[in-house]
Amino acid sequence: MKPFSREYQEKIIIAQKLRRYYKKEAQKNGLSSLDRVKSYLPEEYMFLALRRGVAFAHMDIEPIIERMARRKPFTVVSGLNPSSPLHLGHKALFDVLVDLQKLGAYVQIPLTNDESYVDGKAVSIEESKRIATEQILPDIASFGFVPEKTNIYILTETPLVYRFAMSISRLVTYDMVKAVFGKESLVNVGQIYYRGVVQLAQILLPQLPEFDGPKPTLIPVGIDQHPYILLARDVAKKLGMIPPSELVISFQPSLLDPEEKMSGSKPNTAIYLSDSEEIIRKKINRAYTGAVSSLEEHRACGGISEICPVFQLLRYHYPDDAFVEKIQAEYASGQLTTSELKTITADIIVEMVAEKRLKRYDTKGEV
Amino acid sequence: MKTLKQYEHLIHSYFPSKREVFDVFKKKNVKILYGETYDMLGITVDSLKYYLFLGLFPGSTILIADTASIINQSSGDAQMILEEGKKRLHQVLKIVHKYNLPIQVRQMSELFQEPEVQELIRDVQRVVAGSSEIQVLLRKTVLQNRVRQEDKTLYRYAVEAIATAMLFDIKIGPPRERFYDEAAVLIAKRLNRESYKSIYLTPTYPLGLDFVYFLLHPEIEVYGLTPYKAGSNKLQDHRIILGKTMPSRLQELIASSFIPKQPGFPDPVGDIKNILTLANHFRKEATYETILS
Repeated sequence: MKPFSREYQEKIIIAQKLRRYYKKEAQKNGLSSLDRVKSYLPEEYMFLALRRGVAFAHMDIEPIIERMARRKPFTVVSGLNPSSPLHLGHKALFDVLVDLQKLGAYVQIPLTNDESYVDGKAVSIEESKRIATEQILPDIASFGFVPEKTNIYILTETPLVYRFAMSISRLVTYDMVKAVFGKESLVNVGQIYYRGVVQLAQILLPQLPEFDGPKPTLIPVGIDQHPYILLARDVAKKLGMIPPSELVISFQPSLLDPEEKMSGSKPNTAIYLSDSEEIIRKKINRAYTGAVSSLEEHRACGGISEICPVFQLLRYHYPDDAFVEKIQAEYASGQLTTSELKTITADIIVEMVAEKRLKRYDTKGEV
Repeated sequence: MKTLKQYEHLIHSYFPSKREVFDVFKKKNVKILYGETYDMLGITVDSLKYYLFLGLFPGSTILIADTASIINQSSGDAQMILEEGKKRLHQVLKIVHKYNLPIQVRQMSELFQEPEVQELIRDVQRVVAGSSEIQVLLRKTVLQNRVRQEDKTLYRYAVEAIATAMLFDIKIGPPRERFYDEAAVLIAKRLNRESYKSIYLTPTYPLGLDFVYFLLHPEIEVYGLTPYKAGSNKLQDHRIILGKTMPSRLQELIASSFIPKQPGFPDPVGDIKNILTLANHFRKEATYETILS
């Protein structure tokens, strides 16, 4: 057999690095693998992110699963900084929220326009509120959350959160906040207040008497947000609340680099839910695939789906397991070329985004 | 040894190793022990697994641990527990006859009347009292709420259990007895005698509970949870008591039990099927109904 080219070996190294990254991060942060949990879960609980390994680690998820199985109330909280239009990375997270809602969760989505403002990503509070209302809310509505079991709120319009944040502020010192977030993200006092307590207040809000008191809460997050959860768990204990559980979701990779995440502020790395068919096809055609440059070698060695952001679009979003497995096998065997993979993926993503666009809800500027 | 291999699927593991256990079986007249405590509620079906397994090795001994049961149930009346031990002996003998098992059944209190056994208990007690290393191991055999009491008596329960097992070549038991056996190796070394070897049968898990119970109790994954201990775990309704539980109740429990998706996970239903297979070895066409009677 012909030895692998240097180019192919380099790609293998990237794949190994990616594989190790999440495992290492989970271990480093004291998170548990989801393998044991998944071994027990009946099929009806295995939503896409669990089946595909998109959700890869957790902290204390067992009591949440007990609530699902016993049909008892629990809440899922996932905040969104409305500083850019929604993209497929956001969709991956919202899909998790929708799946959890189908399993019984009450969903709270704080739109953190105050965060956009203190971080300088919105020119004014009014502007940040306008973006949240006119651009973000309609997109969120397209996911089909059940209104009776959903609470989406804009931070600056929700005084209860600030009152609660103020009441817990004495439990968090500046040193604690600095240790968790680092000085670099605490430049102005707004950032200190937001990161120190407003964020915690959002996580713990469902346990206030206004929402029927302490109850298990699950926070789906990216691994970079794990410190927030640790801080929230610490404060919850001090308040006699139930420390929130955590489900860690891997990042939707950037279209240009599998080691980076899709970012709303870097348009070429992301597919927005507002992108047209033409733009989506263009972005996917230009995307990195991690395939070797020679077709002959691709046919011989196959593609490496782990480092291919195009295949990852299917893995994160296309619900048909058998189809995704078939594509993965054909790509890995070299039977499917990168250009064929891109065409198949683009067709699927275009249709999916178009469907979402149809379901956008016109808020007419109202919250 | 052939029998051992035939029923290897019932064996969880060996101590200290499979090779050393198999070496013991190369000897003639291997003395095999299974000892168990009891309560007032009757014989649970998981005990039957051990009786039947022992039946595969003629001459083995079931020991009704009446003296140990007194230690175990500290609040109970000792005389009453001893009386119950006699009843238990008769019940087990009935099962032995029913399946025609070539084994003997004895009471611990009767065994303890032998002077050499008393001497061995004293020797073991002396070694345990003088070794903090062994005490640490024995502490692992005790439930959290009993540690203080056992510390006071210098692990009398474990001392008697180990001394008794030392009279035999092989001990059959559940996997959690490994902690006793590790201590027994150290004790035997200090007494200049050879320690017994152990065969651990597959753990028993409670029937009639869904996946959530197992998900929330990772601690029982390795060592199982024997239903005859269920009273202490609020699982009384999941006990299957020979002669008392109705077959329809057993079927109900089986129907609502967790079924693992892959091997290596708690398999309460698999365990009861294994018991039925073993019962068939001794009594053709055994059914759930006949094993319960």
